[in-house]
Amino acid sequence: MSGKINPFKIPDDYFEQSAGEIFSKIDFGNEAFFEKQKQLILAETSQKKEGRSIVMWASVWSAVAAAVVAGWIFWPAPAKQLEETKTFAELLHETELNEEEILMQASDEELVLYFSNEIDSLHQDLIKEPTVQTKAAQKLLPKEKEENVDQLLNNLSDEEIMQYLIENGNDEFEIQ
Amino acid sequence: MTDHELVIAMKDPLQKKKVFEQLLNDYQKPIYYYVRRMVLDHDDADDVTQNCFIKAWKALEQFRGEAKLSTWLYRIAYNESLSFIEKRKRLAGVSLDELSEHLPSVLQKDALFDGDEIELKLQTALATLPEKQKAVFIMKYYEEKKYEEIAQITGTSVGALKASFHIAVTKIENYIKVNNEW
Repeated sequence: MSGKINPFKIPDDYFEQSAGEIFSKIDFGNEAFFEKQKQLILAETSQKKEGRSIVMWASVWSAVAAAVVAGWIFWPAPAKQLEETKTFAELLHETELNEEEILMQASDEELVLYFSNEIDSLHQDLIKEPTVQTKAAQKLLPKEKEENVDQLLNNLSDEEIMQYLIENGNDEFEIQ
Repeated sequence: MTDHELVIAMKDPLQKKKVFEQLLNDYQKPIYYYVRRMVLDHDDADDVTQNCFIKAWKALEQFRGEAKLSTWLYRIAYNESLSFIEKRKRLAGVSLDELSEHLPSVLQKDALFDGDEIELKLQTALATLPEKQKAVFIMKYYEEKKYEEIAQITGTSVGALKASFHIAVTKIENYIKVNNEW
């Protein structure tokens, strides 16, 4: 308002009362109520989303924890076995037991099996290295095909086998 | 709270009521007195002012801050006042001349009018003006608003407003001269 004379008077406390009437005519209540509800719903939805993510992460971490526990329980066993296997192999390799000592302790059946395997490996060597010059070796050489080797072995006598072993430095062995 | 802060706060539904309270606190009195000068009667001014703020509340979210908040509120008050006066004239079936003729006696009986003889003459002279011209005169003379702001409120060009105010002043001077016998 300017400095002009104002001839218009108002009742006492008019503006306060009028403001009250204006407020009473405006439906703040419902709007405020619905806005509050809206905010609550939005907040609840947000919390639910957070809750879902918490559950998801909890599931993930539970799975990870379970995997770790399972790994801790089961993983060391094969590791120990592998370690033991290695250790055993190393120990076996490092042992001072030689072929003679093993054969001295072996039973007859074990000896037969041993020599059979030895002969098998011998024949394999002959096949791969046909330049062996010994007579027994020459006799053992496959004339035609590899599949005939077994048949040849079956035809060898013990004496022939022993002769082969003597010629190849294994003459210290005795076959009972 | 500045207009800019009010515009931002209005967008928040939870702050809207607080903004409106601020609005009412700042503009209730000037809007009431503008309307009172337009319609003269206190009860009528009270009704119109309340309608102004109820409409302002409903349209609050549409306020974009392109104009000043006071300008926006005055525009609502300007339109509401003109609508009220038009409605009253239709219902009463009285012309401007008849109104100005009866106005001095009406104002003298009004317990809420405390003007002297000069003020009574001025109000009677104002009552002879067309409503839009009267509105321009009130905003320029009593409210001391700039033409640019009045142009925004009334949706009229500044040039037209200047001419309108000049004509209004001339009419009032002539009316007082003619009715100097009071």
